[in-house]
Amino acid sequence: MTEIQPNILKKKKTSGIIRQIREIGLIARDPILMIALIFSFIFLIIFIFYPILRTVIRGFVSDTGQTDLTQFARYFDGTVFDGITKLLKSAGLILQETAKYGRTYRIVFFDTIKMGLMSSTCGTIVGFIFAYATVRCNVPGKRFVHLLALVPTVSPPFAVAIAMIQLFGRNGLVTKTLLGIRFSTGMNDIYGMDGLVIVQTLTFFSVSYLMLKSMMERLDASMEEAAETLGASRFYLFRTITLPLLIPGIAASFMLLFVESLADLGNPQFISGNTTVLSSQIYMAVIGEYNYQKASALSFVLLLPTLIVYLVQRYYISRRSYISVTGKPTVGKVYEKSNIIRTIFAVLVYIICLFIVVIYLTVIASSFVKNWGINFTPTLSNWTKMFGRGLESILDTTFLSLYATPIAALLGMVIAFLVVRKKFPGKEVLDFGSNIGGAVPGTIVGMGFILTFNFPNPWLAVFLVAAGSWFFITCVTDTWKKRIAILIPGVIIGMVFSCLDDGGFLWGPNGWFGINFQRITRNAITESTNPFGIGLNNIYYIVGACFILLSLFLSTQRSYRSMGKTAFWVGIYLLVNRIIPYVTKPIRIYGKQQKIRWWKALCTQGADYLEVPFSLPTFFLGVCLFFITAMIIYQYRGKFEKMIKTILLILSVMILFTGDQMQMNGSAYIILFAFLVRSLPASVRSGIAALQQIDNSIEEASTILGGDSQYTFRKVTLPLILPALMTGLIFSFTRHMTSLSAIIFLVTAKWQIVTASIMSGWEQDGISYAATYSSVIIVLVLLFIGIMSIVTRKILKIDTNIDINSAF
Amino acid sequence: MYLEIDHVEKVFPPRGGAKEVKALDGICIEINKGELVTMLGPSGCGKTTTLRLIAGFEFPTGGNILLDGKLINNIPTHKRDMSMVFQSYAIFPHLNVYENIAYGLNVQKISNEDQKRRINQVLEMVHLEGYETRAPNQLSGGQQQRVALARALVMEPKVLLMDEPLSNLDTKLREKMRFEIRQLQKELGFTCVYVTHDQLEAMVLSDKVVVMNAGKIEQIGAPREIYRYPKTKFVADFIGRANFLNGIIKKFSQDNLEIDVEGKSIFLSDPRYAYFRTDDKVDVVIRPEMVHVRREEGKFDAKIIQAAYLGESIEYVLDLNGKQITAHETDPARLDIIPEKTSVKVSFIENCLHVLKS
Repeated sequence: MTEIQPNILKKKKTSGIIRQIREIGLIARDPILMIALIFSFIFLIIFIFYPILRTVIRGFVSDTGQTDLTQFARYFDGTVFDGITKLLKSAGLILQETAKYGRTYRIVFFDTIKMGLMSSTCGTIVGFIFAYATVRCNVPGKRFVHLLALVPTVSPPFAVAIAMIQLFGRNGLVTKTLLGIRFSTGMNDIYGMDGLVIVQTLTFFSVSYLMLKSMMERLDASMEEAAETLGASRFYLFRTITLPLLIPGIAASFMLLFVESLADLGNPQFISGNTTVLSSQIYMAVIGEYNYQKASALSFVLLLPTLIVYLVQRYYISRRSYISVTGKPTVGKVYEKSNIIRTIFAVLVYIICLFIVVIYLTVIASSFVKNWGINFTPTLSNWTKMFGRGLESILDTTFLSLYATPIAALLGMVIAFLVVRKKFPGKEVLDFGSNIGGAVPGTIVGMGFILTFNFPNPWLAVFLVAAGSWFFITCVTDTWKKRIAILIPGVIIGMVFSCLDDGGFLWGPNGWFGINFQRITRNAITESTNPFGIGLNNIYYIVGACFILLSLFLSTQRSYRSMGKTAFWVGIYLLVNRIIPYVTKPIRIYGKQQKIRWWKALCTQGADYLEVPFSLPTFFLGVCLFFITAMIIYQYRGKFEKMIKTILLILSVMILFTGDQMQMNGSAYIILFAFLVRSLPASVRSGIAALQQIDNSIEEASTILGGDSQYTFRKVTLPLILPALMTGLIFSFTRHMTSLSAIIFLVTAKWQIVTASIMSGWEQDGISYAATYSSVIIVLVLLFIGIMSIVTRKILKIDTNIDINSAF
Repeated sequence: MYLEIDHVEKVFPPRGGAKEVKALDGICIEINKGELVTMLGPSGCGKTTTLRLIAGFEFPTGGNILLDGKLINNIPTHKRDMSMVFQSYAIFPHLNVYENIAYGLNVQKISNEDQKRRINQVLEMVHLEGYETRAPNQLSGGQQQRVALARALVMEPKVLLMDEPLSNLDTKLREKMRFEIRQLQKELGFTCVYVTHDQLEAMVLSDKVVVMNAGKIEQIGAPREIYRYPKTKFVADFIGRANFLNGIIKKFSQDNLEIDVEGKSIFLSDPRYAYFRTDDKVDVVIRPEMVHVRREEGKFDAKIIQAAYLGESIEYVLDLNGKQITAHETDPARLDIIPEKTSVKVSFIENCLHVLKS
């Protein structure tokens, strides 16, 4: 027997940090896992944490870059804090006028809070009624009630507001035509706080309903039965057992609704009348005043209650919950025995359901009417107008939503997998981060995206290079000596070579080295006079060619042939990136000559869509290259190992530093990433719920039979969570199609989003036209859900119902 | 030495308010090629943790694990060439029987013909021919168990790990599977580490039993040795049942011991006990089947507290000078039950007793 010094003899105290580093080391043994992990983190950092942080900071900084508390001081203008304001002013921390703003700022703030509190209270009550009626009272037509309650979740954020105006507005069907009320100034109409609360309640109660429903279903019937055997009356039992058990759920739903209604931008824009809420104040600050500082500061104010509520919900309520989250619905069911209560709940639910039906029928009906409230002549003019002028934005929205959907769902599943199954430091951060993007008001994400991606951002690029190359070297080699030997030449040569681009972070006219280069040579360089510039096109050709050459080289070695294949496709992808315009250009020209409107739109837009997958922003392409090349090459131990790995690192660094300098404004990708950030939480949560149901040992069985993480995920985990993936897909698509606040600042003439078009154009085009658009969104979403359910049932042969609850 | 566990220690970091847990405290086990070793112990003793360390699902915080002379501490699970049968079977629910068994072979990219040959072979071994296309949810518990076994065996693993594989089966089936597993193991000669909390299972199956308690190994030995000569009170009590009586060594000469128990002398003759000295305090381990309960003749006076008819035997709980003693009377000639509260005489089969230093 060989003598082996047991580790145990080296007595040591492992501190937390060392242990955490060791845990990373354990993950690093499986590079695919590492790729998933680092990629998720990088995604969170550049698209969620950084933009939000950027927004928060921007609120404290004036346009000239000085610290400026003006926006926050305005809240305290004319109060006892005036002294402090003066002090700050003399200290140079307040640069702009604060006087005369106090009252408006405060009114908006308190109105917002009031609106949030009222909407969330009403919404939770309605949600509770629905949940109790369907779960406990077993109302006839339960399925139908359930489906109706879900309709608001698939409709655009202002559909209810539109219908309410059509029904109860100044020219409303009910108010004017049926009741004959003539509104004069000063009369209490639907516009304003009360109308807004009603609309918000109807829009958001489904969230509360789904939460409470799943909670009630999990409530163990035996507990109530136990209380009954102890002699408790029905009411006493409800008061002492049922309600306390549901309190965490009710509180959670209340808070979620509060946050959602604060963040909502669509409904207030339509119906709030003279009342202003924070979200519309922010919207006006950006669209009307171009005042990013004000918008950011207000966003921060809006973020605070949201964040507090979110944290309380996450760390307090979830711990006090008595009802296990992992368990399946209990077998035993208790039904309300009192006929009177059952009837009351049934009647209430039916009334609300009827109201919902009327609302959505109104939306659809008003799209077929000339001028709702004044002239009820049926007409198709709204629809022909929409299929003409509006077609572009519908195509754009559908395309971008569809494109983002599988990415969101897959990324969500990967993050869920990491969170549920793997141990690593920063797991909490990953979980939190993937949720926060959807939890914060969309306006903040939108603001953050403008502030982050409208300007070159060298620091973020440096961070990406640092993270990417650190990851690359730890993945592809195992000793520090080798790692350094690859890292240093790789990064330096990559940086030097990025001067081949005319622009870029480093060598461009405004790049770091570019500026110094000009100073030394006293030669002003512009994009066209960069002495080394060969243009982005040529860089892509070179890098693409490098990959193809590499693939040829790898193919000569028998055991690395499959690596070669992947490298080949990466090369081809890079080349296609630059060749695709030669394909799309003729299509576009052909399209422009066409007479038929829809065919023209289809051709010109189609050409754009064809380009999108091949025009990843260069910084993101660079990030992806780090991961893809690492994935291709990490097992390579053949000839010229070090050299090949260094070259790959050089190529990744080079691509990251060239091109658009992280400016994505106006591109499809800024909208796509905003979609992803918004829809990620739903798919992560449905993935987590599904994974928790699957016994850990099933995956362990796969590993011990020889499958690595990637193989196990592909062959075992993914098939098992397929229903959750489908839910994720549906939810992501719905979220994309109906999102408004996050993308409203990001749309451009080239990439139009329906919801944003309605928001900006409904006052000119009329509310009927807005209703037409809304109908189209609803139809498209329902169509997608229908297709997905058919795919799930018929093609994938999954028998389970898609569990929508899991996404909440 | 094929598989060697050398001073392995496993500490689980503190989590969510709970303190850190030392699940394994420097354990050493040596397993030879072709041996079936069972890990036996109460729940929470660290036996499953040991198995998971061998499998590579967890990594030791100290010590080494060696397979065939190579250190495997840092080798990830999927490269260890082991396979495992799980307590929950962990059959892939989306694959049928054939696909389940083929899973590991597919990872190794083994050709279809080879796969077919090997799978048919194991299917025959576990008596599942004709079930190839069944979905897991169409199988009974026992059949699922066999699929799990087949899936592990088809890999021809260096070590086969089994984590309480029979605990979800009913008693009859469990007994049957026990023998089948043992027979397969003898036929194929694979090395196997088997975790169980059922001492009978351990007895039937193993070449070697490792008895664990609270993260430590209490004793390693052949089943007979462990039953007959437990090293500690814990082992004596955990394997089978045992009564303990305090005694003092009165006389010690060559292989013969005279022990004073409850005022009476007991005589033992075994070279094992050569290390005892006169006046040593000892625990005498008395298995219930070593106790004779008679109405008239016997060394000790006792009173019956409880009597139960078990079919194959009669169980008496006796009061012997204030100490409770369990006796199993299997003598078919005396199948009348002595009623409770009767005063009786008790004697032991003295040469079969075991003595532990207290």
